Amino acid sequence: MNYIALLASAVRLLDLHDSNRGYGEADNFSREKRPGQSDGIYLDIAVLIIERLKQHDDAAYQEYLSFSMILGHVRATRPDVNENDVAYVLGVMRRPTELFYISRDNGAPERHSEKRKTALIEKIDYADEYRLSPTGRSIPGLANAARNATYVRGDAYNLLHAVEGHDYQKIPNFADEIVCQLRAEILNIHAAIERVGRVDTVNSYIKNFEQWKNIISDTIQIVSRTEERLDSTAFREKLEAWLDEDRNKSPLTFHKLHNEVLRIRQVLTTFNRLLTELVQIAMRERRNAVTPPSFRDFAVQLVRNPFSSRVEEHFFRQWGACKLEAPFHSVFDGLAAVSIREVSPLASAPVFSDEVIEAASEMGKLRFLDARGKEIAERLQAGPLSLSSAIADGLFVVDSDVLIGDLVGVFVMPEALPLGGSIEIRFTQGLQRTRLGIDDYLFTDVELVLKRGPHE
Amino acid sequence: MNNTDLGRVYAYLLRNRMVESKSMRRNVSREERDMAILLRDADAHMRALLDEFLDGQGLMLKSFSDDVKGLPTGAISFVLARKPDTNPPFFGSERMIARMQQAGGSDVSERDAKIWFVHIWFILMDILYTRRGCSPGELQDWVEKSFTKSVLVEAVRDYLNEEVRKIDPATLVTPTIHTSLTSFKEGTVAQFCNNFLDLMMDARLIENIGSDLYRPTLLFAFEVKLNYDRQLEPFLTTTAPFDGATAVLTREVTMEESNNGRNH
Repeated sequence: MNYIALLASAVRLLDLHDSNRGYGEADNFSREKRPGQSDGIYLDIAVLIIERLKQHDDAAYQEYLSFSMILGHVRATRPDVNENDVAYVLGVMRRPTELFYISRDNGAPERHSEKRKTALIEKIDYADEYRLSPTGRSIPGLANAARNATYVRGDAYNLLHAVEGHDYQKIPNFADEIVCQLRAEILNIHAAIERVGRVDTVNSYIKNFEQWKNIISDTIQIVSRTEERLDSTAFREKLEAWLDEDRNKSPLTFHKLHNEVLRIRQVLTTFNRLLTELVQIAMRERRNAVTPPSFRDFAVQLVRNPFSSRVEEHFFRQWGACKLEAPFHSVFDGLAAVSIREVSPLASAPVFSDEVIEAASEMGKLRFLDARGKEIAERLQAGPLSLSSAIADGLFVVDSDVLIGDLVGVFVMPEALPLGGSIEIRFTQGLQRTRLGIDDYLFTDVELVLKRGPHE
Repeated sequence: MNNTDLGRVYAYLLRNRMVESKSMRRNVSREERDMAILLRDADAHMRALLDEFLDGQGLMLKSFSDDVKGLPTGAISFVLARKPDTNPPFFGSERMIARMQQAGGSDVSERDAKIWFVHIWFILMDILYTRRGCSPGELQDWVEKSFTKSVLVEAVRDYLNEEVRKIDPATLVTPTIHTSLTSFKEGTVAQFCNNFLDLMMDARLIENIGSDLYRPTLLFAFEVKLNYDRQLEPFLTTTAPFDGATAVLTREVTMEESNNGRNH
């Protein structure tokens, strides 16, 4: 009995069940060392006991077997076994233990516990006699459960029977089981194709290739039959009737069932293709033989028989160091492509030059007064002068510079004019409009009138 | 990931072909990290959309998590691989040829550039796979395939001296390749190898992991794994039968001649 597969698949789950780690603590909490004698003797005794009880179970319906008979069977294999050890193992196996788990059968997660089903054997109260419990009876079945896809055909039949017998709840389970097995097998094949020199795995497929072919074709047929049954009106009607009764509980729909079955066929097809590929490769004795392909030899061949230009172009696109050559330009593409040496400005200490001092009259209003002050004064002596007439006469132009601001400044602050006596500034009503070059000026006209001082 | 992000990711992938959330060998830019996180967190619908979109262009986006050797813990890496037989329309070889032409100055023609690239590439494959006894389908060993520049240059020189120069050009139907491979100086060979490595690094197929140490990237290893069976393997086998056929013919003719000679 290959009970190791069963133990190996369950042991980590049991570790998690027994874990003392507090929720939210560091994730490196683990117990890697298994306590015990590390010799497997108790397990061996347990398995011998189960085997004996199973034999007895098959021969005599639900009868108990005495301790001495059990001991005798164990001693046949392990002659030196101590009686107490066997009694101890029997004691452990008949004691139930409590397992806690969360179930979502009714939608919301609920904590459940299982105790009754954990005892593997039952003991009669008044005598030292034992038999397998229902759980114990299922151990050999579980341990011998098919571990590869060789038995997938049987599972496909299970699926077909589930469809024919309208056992709707079981259909996804069976379908899942088949897909899982096939997927595991597909991964194995992938590993075999990938690895050079891993001959064992490959051989197991090659030797049984005929068998595999039959299994696959049979399974595909069975699945097709299942699909036909599923598509039949009778099935649909019955399913709908069942869903109506059971509406609140079951999440199943026709499409879900249909997809489950369809998925199997898809996985089967992949499986078939990969298996054929693997066997073809192995039959040609390449890749899986130890030597990898010699690329250098090929390069030499290439000197003799060059690629045709079409093949060469294809080669470059498939294997060459190609980069994007398309209009996906970025402004940063040319960044720093051309380096420009930045010339740093010459640092020099500030120097005061006394030779080129600007004459004060050159600046602003003084310059204007120098040029036009006299003329304006003469005009004022002659009579009132308005801003508009001054502009019209071009008094604002000095050495071809337009100094209109200075002209206005003189009109607003006429004290700077070389005149004796006081000046009156008059404002006219309304806006004056004058065009100078391309600009229009709108302003209130100002008029200067020279008043004769009392001393004159 | 919204549609704008999809566009950003797509443009980034086309330009760089690899996105890593973190790396043991180089500094990952902020942009690249953003892209990796966008791709990692993208909902299934968007990922499927991107995959289909890329599929139409002959490309395949493959993600690797830290269970692949060479990726640091918690890292996720995406590579944009060329699918077999599809010739992605955005990828071109003009730049590649121009760069190879720069190796030998003005006397390297476009034809020479192509020939040298192909031959150095095969020698590189020889170093990475044949010499190490690895199958091109193996992906997990990509980390251990480092080599130095001098190894590549030596391998190419050895190939030229031991194989190519021993071929009599008179026996060749088209001696173009032979002439091209034998007409350049020793120094130019190193220059060709140099430019070849630059190109491969530029295309993210090879990375520099030390001062003079190079290694194929995950992208390279994945592309070889993905495309070898459909794209290279047929080449490697179809040429051999021709060779076999010529060998048989040659032997039969000589036997016939010797028989004739004996008869006379």
